[in-house]
Amino acid sequence: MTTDNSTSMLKPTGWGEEYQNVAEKFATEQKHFQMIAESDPDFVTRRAARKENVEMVKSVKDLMVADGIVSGFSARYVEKVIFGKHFDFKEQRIGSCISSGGLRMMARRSLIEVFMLNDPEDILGTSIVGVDNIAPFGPYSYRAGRRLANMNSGDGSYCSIHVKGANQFGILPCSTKGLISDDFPEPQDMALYRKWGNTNSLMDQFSNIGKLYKLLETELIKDVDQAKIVLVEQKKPFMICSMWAFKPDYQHPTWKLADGTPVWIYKRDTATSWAHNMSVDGIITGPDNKEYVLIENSWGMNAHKNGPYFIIPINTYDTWCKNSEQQSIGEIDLVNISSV
Amino acid sequence: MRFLSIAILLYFSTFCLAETTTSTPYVITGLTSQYQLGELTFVGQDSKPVLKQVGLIEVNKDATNVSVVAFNSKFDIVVATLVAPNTFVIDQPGSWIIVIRGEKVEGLGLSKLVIGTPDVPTPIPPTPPDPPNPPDPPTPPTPPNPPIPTDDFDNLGQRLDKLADSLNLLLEERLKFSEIYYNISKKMKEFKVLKVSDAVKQLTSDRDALNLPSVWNNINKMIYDDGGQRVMSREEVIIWYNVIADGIKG
Repeated sequence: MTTDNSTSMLKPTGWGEEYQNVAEKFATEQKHFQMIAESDPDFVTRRAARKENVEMVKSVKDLMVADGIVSGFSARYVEKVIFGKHFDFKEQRIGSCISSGGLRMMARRSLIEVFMLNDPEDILGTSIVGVDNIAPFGPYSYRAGRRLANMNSGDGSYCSIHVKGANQFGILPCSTKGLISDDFPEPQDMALYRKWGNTNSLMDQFSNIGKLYKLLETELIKDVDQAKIVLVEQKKPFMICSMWAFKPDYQHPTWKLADGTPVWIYKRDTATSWAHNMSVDGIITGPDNKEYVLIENSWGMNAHKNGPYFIIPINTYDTWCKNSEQQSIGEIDLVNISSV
Repeated sequence: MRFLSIAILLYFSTFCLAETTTSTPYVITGLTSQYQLGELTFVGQDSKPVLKQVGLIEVNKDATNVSVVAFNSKFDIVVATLVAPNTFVIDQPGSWIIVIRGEKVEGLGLSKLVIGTPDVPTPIPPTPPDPPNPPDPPTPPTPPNPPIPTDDFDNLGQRLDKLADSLNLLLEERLKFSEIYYNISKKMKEFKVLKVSDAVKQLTSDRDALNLPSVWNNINKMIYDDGGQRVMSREEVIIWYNVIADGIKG
């Protein structure tokens, strides 16, 4: 990649409702989170760290080192160990960023649980393309959140209400019988996506299955120190909803990926804004021994100079923490397994 | 068959089978341009003779469609080389379980061969005078199979081995059964099978394809009962499948 397409060809965004200003979006997030915390304090309480699979941790670290990462953790390397490549999910087509980003992190978190933390569970699917998909079906989760927020028209959702939807209504395997879509884990057909997002009719057909696989844990991330504990130590990535936009700042003078591609460092683009959800996928140390944060977007494989993600300095993220709503994707109740 | 260009029978040990016999003679390899005049064998000057022990499997002559395969304790597999009609050779050292397949094969169909020593370079000239015939060396004892290791599953491997022994299960069936579990464990380890539920489907299908006699239900029950009482991670299931394979292989 030599270009960044995120500014020149702005993709759909969808944090909050279109008529809201920034203050109203944050107020809505806070109201939702407070209601969730009061009604289900266990859901928003961090669970204890678990013993890691040493062999898997080493494999992930080896791949990170090959990409010039000295230390830290980025969830996207787990799938590289297992599948030999990173997710290459298609871009979001409507303002479903909350769901599109969420499904990416739920897929990664489920891989982490089964392969890295030795949970006695099976993943949802075995492929990163098609029906037998590792990721949950996007529109189901999208509607689950919007249903709780009583959003029945337009596009968009909220971080806090989305994770509550995944807790209350669960997440739906793409392989669920009777599920029809032009693509998985989320449709490219915009009308179909919106049909899911605006009524309960499609969701209700599958909610008995979705409720079998629930998000059991989330956490409101407020600062860098907390983020390091939750992501680097506990392997729980986050959704991050805000108005911040980003653009390339400079090509790192020494940092190159394993294939020789130079790494680009991004910065906030104050000339524009994205009412958008992305994912905090990694907090890492680069070859210059400085800390960075890897942000995964859902605008396709060619969205940014290094692909579907971009990297920002840790101090940028520190400031962003104060201007965003972040919810971790914690423990997911997946498929119980039987060995016989 | 070039390694059998000249076979000198120095040592011969026979395991009794009805008409199929196995033995471990010695051969000389590395000869060039050899021919025989009377009792003398003439060879090329560039010969680099090496004396080595091989496994010789001679299957009864009226057997048809015969093939011979051998397994060692690590479950490496070698296919024996056909050197003459119904006559096969294994030229790799080690302790091998021999599996003979074919129609009208007389004999047990399974045996064990210990092909011992590493290759011994053989000097050419001068040819020493014929020594007096040495007494037959004692037949090397067949090394016992290594004991089934203890495991974290209440020694399931040892329990399965003991049960399989008590049921007099055929060695060939035990090897095939254990191979299924080794294979699925390996595939899971290499991320070729990701879900335990898919591994179980594969195991079930492979076991059914073996079409084992009903006495094997006792083995399946022990496995099922053990697995049914455990909550295991994918990583533990990989180890558990290996323990089962070790135990059944014996």
